[in-house]
Amino acid sequence: MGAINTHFVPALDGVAYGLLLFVAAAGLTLLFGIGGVLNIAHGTLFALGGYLAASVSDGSWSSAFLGLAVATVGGTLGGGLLAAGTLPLADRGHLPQALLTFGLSLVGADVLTTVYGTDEHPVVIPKSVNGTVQIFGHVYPTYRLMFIVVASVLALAGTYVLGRTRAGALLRAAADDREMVGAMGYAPWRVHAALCGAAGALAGLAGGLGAPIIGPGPDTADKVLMLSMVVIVLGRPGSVLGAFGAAIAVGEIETLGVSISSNWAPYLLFGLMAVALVVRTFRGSSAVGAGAAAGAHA
Amino acid sequence: MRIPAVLLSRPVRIGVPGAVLAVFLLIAPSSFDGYGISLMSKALALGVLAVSVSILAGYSGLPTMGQAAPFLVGAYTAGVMSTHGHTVGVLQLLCGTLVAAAFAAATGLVAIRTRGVAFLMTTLALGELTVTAAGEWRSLTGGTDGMYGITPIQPLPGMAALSSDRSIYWFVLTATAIVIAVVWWVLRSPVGKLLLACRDHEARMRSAGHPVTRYQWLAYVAAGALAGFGGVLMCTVNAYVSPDDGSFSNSALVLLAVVLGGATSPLGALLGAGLIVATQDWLSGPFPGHGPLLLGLMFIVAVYALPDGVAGIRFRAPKRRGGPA
Amino acid sequence: MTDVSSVSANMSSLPANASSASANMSSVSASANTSSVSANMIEVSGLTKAFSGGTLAVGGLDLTFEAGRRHAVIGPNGAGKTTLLNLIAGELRPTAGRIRYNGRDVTRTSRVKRSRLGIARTFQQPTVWSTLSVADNIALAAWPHSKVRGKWRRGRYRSLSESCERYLETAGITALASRPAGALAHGERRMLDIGMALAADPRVLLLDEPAAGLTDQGVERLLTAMRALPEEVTVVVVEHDFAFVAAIADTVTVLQDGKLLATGTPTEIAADAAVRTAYLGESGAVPDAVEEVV
Repeated sequence: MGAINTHFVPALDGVAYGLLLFVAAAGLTLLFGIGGVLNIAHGTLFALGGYLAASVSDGSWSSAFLGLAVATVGGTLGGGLLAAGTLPLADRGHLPQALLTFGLSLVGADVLTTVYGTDEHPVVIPKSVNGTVQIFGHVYPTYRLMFIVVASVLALAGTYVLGRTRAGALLRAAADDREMVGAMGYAPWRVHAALCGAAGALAGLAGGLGAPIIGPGPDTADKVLMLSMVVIVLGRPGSVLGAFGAAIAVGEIETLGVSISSNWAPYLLFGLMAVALVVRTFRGSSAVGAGAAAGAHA
Repeated sequence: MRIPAVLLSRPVRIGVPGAVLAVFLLIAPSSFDGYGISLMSKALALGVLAVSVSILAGYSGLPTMGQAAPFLVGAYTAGVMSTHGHTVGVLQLLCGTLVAAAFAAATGLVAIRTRGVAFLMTTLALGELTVTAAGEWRSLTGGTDGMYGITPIQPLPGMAALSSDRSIYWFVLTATAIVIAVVWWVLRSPVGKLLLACRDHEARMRSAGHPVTRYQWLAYVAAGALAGFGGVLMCTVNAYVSPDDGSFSNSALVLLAVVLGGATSPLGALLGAGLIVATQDWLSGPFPGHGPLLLGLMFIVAVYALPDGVAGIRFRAPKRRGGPA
Repeated sequence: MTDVSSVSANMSSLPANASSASANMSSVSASANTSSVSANMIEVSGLTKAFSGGTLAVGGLDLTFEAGRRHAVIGPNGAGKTTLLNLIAGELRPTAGRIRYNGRDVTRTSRVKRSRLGIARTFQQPTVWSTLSVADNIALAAWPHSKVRGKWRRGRYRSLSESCERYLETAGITALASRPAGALAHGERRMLDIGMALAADPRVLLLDEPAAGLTDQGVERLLTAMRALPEEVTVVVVEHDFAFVAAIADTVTVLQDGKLLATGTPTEIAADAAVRTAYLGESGAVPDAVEEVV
């Protein structure tokens, strides 16, 4: 019981953190799984959303909503820029696109630190949720609890859109076969722009929502990019449920794991990723493992 | 406008830039001040890292974005050895190379399993995780502050410690020249043919009975070892190691160097690294503190303006999952 | 000596009825390095391959290819011929069924290992390393099968290349040895592909539509090369062109819709009523014409 008591708050934090990572990784996996674009500037868009939300927040509810709106719009615009940049590279394959986003992320990081400086920008949370509540005898920040609710709703809504609506069906079709969407009468550049825009919006929104948890600062972009990528690698590209499970797991490692043993958390992520990749290749295409085995034989 | 065939022949294409580079590297230090010389040493260390990326991205179809990780491992190995009183340069190079090779051997088992964009993502994540881990392991690495005031090395046992930027430069230049010569010799041997053949027609290689995965893993380990070698040199030059040495922008810089220098040319990668370091330094006069911005812009320009350079870097073919043939 | 022990080990695992025949075989070819020990070099049972989407490319095949003979597999497009070849070579994993090679179950063996065990193949679209010379291509194909150590060293590699000259000769491309493979015409590339398969010193050679896209002259050259193949090599040819098959094959296997339709000598097959209606009757004449165009 003692252990549960000590670790209850970090564990709940882990859920909040994981949900945030899920929303953050959703945009990355959307663009990666469907468009084949690995957006290395994704973390930068997240940071942009955070900075924008922080700069308008003054503790009122209206400023909080304004912040979210501004963050989402900012992310969408960033996604639009990304679409414009990557579209001319589309027929040169996925690698030049990824390299371009690599360049954009460096530029973006520099621009953000120039504009906002190298300090962390705390978000002023609306007063009514800035207190604490009691859960099972533990004191817990109200905002985080609210975040868990909001992010859960977002995650459910996203899953619903992808799984049950026409737009979602179209997206899933596009993931399987991009040509087919073209054949259905949707211009490829529109699909591409919509994808980049949606991914950017998700990143910006996540940045705005998560600003009180992963505050916007000079390290935010790299950190979010890295954790989102770990989530995608763990959760099998294109799988919503997989990404969700992975996000919660990574969130728990980053909070509960750190609270138990802060030194080992990065290695735990390392190990988890290694195990996931090794297990998956054995289960999936056996040729890689088989090739290695044959090598050993020689 | 046709370029005369003589100018395109192999001896001219490699010999001329090689000779120009060699002359520059030998003469330039006499006209540079300490800052300029140590900048050249840094460029050489990053050049070694760029060559390791060219082995992976150019020769093996493994466009890594996390090669700064074994570089960091090499640098920390040298730093830790120095703080424990092992200051012989050759020994540090040897140990740094071995430890980085071991690191690459472990991470390679994971990374090699992925292909295409997933490989980019995995190597990038592995690189960033390494940086995070280096920051957390305070007892060994000094945390995010890094290790500073690292004792100057002696190149060989019994020699005097390298006290000036100039003497460090000559040490770094000698080490770089030797290691690049070895890499060049190996890549020009049948090993290079083997790697290129795997990159171009992996399925055919497997059908012929070549253990392709094992070759590529070995290339990954060798490239990791080379990156570790570069990391040791970096530690020697800076007398300082921090997680920043393994940062994103170092991985980006060397990838760009490979794009500029031609994916399968070690000499080109070295030149590319030098060019980027020089441009960054030259432009940091009018725009101080905007290194990443300049690097990013160069990256963006290169992607659009040098499609052939970018095309030299490619993925391995996707794994065939079956389907009517 | 190790060769003998592995032979006896293999023999003991053979079914009783096959061992007397295989004893003969091995005494015949004992002098050759590639001694056959099993009468049935390739044996597939219940072999099934379903692709994602539900297409059944091969449905429950039972087949044997006897050692040291020339076998042909024919059938209309989509009959599962190439899939069968890919399954035997290890390029694809079967959905169900077993593959035995030389008395040994290789169903779950990787293609790299199968190649090392002596199964070599060519491709419908010959894939060669276009920037390397023809001789280099052959040497790379011979590499994993040569006992020479330290092949990555220049000198050893050169001697490996020299030892490959006989394969160039068999494939009839000696004159092209120093040309870059990318500069070859289609027919020459095909011969290079065969030369590369031979360089693996195979016991089983799988040829995937070797005559496709060849000119008359090219087909002549191919026939010459095939007649020059070592006696003890078991050859399985997948082909459209029945005339070509009749010229080289000892036995012909006819597939239709992934199922076995008939097996026999070329004469028997040509006379088989079921085959005539299913294959030769409708399209037997057409493929010849098509091959010329492609």
